[in-house]
Amino acid sequence: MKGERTRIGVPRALGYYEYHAVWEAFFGELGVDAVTSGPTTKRLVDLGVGAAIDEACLPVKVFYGHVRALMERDDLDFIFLPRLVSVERRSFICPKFMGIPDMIRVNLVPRVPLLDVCVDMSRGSGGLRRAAVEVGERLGAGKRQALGALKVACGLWREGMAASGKRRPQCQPRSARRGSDGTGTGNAPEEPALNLLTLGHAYNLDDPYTSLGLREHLKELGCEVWTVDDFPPASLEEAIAGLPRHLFWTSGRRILAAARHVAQHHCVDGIVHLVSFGCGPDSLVGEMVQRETLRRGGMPFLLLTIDEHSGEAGLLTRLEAFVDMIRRRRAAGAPGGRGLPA
Amino acid sequence: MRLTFPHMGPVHIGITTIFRDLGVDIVAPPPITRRTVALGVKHSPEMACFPLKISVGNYLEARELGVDTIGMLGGVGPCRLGYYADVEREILDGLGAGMEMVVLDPPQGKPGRLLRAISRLTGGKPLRQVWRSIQFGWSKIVEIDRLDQEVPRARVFEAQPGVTRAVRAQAYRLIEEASSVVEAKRAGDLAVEALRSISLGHGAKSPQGRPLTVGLVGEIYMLLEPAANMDLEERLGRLGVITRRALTVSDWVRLHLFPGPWKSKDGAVVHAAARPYLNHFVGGEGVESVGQTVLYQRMGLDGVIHVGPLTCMPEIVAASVLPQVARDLDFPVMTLFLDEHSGEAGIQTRLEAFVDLLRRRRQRQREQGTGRFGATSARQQLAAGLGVHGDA
Repeated sequence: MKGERTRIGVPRALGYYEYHAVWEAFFGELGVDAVTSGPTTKRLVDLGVGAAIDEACLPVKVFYGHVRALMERDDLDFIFLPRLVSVERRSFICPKFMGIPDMIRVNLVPRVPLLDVCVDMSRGSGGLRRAAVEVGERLGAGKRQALGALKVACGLWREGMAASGKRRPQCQPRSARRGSDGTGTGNAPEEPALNLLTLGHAYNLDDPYTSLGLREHLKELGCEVWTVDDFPPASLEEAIAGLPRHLFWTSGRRILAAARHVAQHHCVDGIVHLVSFGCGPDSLVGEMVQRETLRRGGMPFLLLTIDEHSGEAGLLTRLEAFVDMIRRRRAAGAPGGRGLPA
Repeated sequence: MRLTFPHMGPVHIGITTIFRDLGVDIVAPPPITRRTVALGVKHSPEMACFPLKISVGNYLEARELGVDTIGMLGGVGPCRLGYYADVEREILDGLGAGMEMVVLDPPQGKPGRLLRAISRLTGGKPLRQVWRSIQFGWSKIVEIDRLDQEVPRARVFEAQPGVTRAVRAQAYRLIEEASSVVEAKRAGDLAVEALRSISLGHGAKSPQGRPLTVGLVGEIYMLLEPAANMDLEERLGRLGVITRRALTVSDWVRLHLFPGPWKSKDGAVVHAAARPYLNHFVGGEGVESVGQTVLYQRMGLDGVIHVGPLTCMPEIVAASVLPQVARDLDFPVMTLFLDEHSGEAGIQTRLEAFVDLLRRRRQRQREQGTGRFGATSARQQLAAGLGVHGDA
């Protein structure tokens, strides 16, 4: 049953994990309901694998799955399929992000109209405003209303960013602090917590199904888990500034910056890099990450490659071995991470 | 300083000409062999795309010839090619190869930039001289592309097996050795004439009926480099198929390196043809692969083979929409993703099956008068089983 308000289906995949707050606020301001597809499940992955070509990476297949799940519903007026070309100057996200609305449109023949809009900020934020006006038009809102909604959404986004900044640790070695106040971990209460940096794309790391519960497992193993978002943007910029040439993938740039930063300041005990099998940018960025950390004195590094065939047991075995290895290194006198600097 | 650069089909002829003309000590890497690929694969990231691995092999083999500097094209994304140089530099430094990597970024509308970068590489030769040398090198590339257009036909009609290959090799040598634009042109004319006489002249084989014509679309490196694409064109030629390649070196340079007004106008036509299926630039040759497939169907070709390196992002986007192109236009399209693990026998089998399918399709069209028929389910099953999309 269609309600009074327009309902837009938003696939919980790819760009969703980083930008859903903006999208939801924007749609909310325009008086439109954003309906998100449920969390990723085996059924959704199977739906996606059945529709995408074999060579596509897992996140793209998961995206197909979410769109198909939305298409099964009959209470939606649109499905939101933004073409995220670029979110900052001189940078791109990934060629597959640039092609995905076409891949969906051509392969899935949706009954529900697609709300596909191109977001290209490679030449400045005018691209975002144009996209907002275009979406507003499709939803029957005027230019002024759309731009107003965008302003509110971006304001909320910035507030959210600032708030997450406040939660940032202030140069204290977290592991020591945890040890002293007695809040140890279940598995190894006598051991100090390890600080591990998890690297990867938000659509993998933030999706408990595709990441096979990586973060939860690490926490259970007594690790403090950090991500790129825990670093102030300024220190990331500083860490990446020394590169001879501009790295033109937004996410890859952040990943490499974080790796350079922690390797330089020795603020974590190890790095876990989660990549999808066949990921183009990560095939090169991952190599740079490994070489950068090695060059800066070395740091325990675990590369985890996932695809639709990956199993949780295999992941857990590797994580346990990795964590054991770091603990033994430390027992043998290797210096631990100092915690994140401000 | 001794300079080298990565191979890509016949580009080495143009590049060595330009730099030799400017008095630079330049050597092309040895021709790509299994050893090149093995060396590259050993030292490159596992999931990197095939061209990167081969070029790393090129550098390491060139190093054995005393090379200490590499000239490599840069890029601005989103395709991985634009970041090759940085990763390759890391790999070579990690090996302690002692080679310097000089990155030549595309002009991005400022043609002077590339010229000045080349001038710096030559120790500050005047831009006017650099420009003249580029024109000289360019003339050779144009001649090679001109004679290469005649090769597929000659290959199919040649009476003596292998004669086309020999003529082409000799023509390449003549053009490479040419010491002026006029000489290059003359060598090109000779080659074209020789190749035409193979396909049209006395003793030309007369095959039964009109030979099949297949378009080759896809990623530029895989299209141009026979060592990477398992000598696809030669293989199809031996199966009696005339090939039409969507991109040549000169096309690619016109598309990517020429400044605005001199840019190739074909780009717009190809993009327009791709638009119903892929409506945005996706890096590399993704849109071109789709657009050229549509254009080849309009030109009445028998089918298209789409090639790309395994995990190539733009070509994965193209391969995702090509099945629908094939269905809409009733046009057989086969995608081949290749890398160092591709087996010769596997490729040969798939090519033979595809060509069989095209032959039968042609025959059915002849029997029933015109083109365009619905596919039988058996044929669809065969196509699905072979990983061939479409023809339905």
